[in-house]
Amino acid sequence: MFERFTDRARQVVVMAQEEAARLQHDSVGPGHVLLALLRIQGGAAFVVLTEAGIDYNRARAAVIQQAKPGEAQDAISGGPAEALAAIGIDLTQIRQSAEQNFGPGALLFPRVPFSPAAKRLLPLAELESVALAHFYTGTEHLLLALLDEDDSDVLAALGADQSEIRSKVIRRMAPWADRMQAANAGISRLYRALVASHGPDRPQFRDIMRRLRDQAGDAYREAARQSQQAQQRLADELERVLTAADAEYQAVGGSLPRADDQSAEH
Amino acid sequence: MTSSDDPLALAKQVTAKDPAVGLRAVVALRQLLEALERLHVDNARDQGWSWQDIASVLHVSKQSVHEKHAARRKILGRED
Repeated sequence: MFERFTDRARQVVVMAQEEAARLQHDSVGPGHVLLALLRIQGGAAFVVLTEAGIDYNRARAAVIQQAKPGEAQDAISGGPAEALAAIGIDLTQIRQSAEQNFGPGALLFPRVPFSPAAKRLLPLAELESVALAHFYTGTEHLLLALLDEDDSDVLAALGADQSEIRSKVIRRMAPWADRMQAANAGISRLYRALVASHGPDRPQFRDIMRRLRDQAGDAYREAARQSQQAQQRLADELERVLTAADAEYQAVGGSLPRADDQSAEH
Repeated sequence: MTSSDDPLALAKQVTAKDPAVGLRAVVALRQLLEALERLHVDNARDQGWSWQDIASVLHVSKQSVHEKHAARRKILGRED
């Protein structure tokens, strides 16, 4: 399922486990995925969530509050940690020395399982990506999945406008038309400012506006053309790969080697 | 907070004849071992060790250590 996941999206999956482990919750829920999204600063989800006024600390407080009774376990009193303590092994000490050398949350033990709702997020994110005809699954698709998932009451508790976040994510992923509008609005503002500060409308103002509009329009059409070409190249390349795969398939008499059959390298 | 904070209670547990105590500890140790192995294999790979280097130190075959860790590392984007 993870082949299409970007590095950042993969990191989210791991970091969500770390979040749950640090909070000593006994399963990874959608809230922990949200916290992980808020820690990937370069991710699209991070940008949109931040713009919506959701930050890590607020989200963390909400996740703690929403934790169902019994979800927050005493890490020492239950499970493997106590079992080890019973034979004189101090897990806290092992964890501390691991974190000294490798950073906080380095030792993912005990493992925190994903809740059914959090598990559903992964295929949901994949679906969002496919529905948008994207070739990858990134943090933005995980965020869309989070908005779909009924269980994501953490976002509701944060007072987040979920439909606005959704449309922001979508707009961010199709940014050109949006930025073109912003550029046009900026040019109009400039024109109005010129008229306001320099008195009555002059032909030069209209010339400046027209020239800027033309420049923006040219740039927009050029970007659209290049984007179309890039998509066409990608489609051609994928077609070529498929044809090659088909030829390989026939060459080995119809029994394709399994992907995990590669012998250990290095 | 728990019995492990209380040396007396802990001493009682260590010497307990209850098989459940010992067996639970064995399971926990096994899981801890796996977590530590992941941690240190990751560290070794990040420091440029080959799978063969790691396998030699772990006293296992290169294939088995690769099979166990390579896919996971790939998912994390830590392996080409």
